Amino acid sequence: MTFWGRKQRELRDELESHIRMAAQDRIERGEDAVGARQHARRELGNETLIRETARDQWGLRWLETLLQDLRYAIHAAQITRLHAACCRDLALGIGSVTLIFSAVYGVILNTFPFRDAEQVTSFDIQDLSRPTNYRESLSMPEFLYLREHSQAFQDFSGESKRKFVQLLRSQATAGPPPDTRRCQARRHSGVCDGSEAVAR
Amino acid sequence: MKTRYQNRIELLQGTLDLLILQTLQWGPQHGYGISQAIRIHSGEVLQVDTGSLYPALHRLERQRWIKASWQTSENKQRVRVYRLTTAGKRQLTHERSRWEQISEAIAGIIAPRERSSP
Repeated sequence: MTFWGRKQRELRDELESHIRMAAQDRIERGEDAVGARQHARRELGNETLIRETARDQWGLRWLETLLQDLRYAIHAAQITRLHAACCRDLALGIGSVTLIFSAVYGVILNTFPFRDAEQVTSFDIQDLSRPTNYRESLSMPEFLYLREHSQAFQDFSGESKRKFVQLLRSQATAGPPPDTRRCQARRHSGVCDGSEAVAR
Repeated sequence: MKTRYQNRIELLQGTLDLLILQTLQWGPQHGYGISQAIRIHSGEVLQVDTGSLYPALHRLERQRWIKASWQTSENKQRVRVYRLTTAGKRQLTHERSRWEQISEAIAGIIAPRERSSP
């Protein structure tokens, strides 16, 4: 048994012997055994409090408090580790769900990721000079002409099969962004082969 | 509970050590014996609270003024008996002189009033 445990046990035994002797005195004065012991115990008062106060006198209370603090610190550290694990798992969970949703949304739910996608339309080009009466693409001048003069659509956008070409003028009020202008300038003289005009 | 203590005087703070040391000068004694001795020798006036007695005993033991050992009593019971050490005897002398100072000081305060009263 440790020094601490031995001291505690001794104190408990000492208080117990006090109660025994007090009860014995009461019995000798004529009280019944059960009543004498009950009275003796009541007379002693709060045994736990006495034990704690006596323990304070041993001068080792600081050690006991330190041990308690250490136990608490270890417990708190364990909780912190648990919290860290919880946060990590939550982050992984939220992250993976977001990733999967983004993929599903992009691939399955929203395959045409443009703003106001319901207003976007594509159109076919009738060309009676061709045997099929049909043409897939516009030349660059045709495209630019349509974009400048069309009243039915807010704006035009084209797509090159070789390379994505954005000819979209951002909005009617704002001027074309620099990238768009550069693209226009580069492609202005050429024919926009295989491009599909998309109006919106 | 209150009425039980009405005829008893609560110990003046700091006097418990003196009473314990004085009681042990008459011979080794266990905690219960000390409390009984104080009660009887004070003519049933002074009652040592157990909640104060045992912490005080352990405090005095730590000061090495008293020494404790387990013994078997006449009733074949294991009891913790305290005895006065040499340092304890010196402390008792010190505590006594301190008490005399205090009682003289208190008497000095009370006496003039007694003299002035008719």
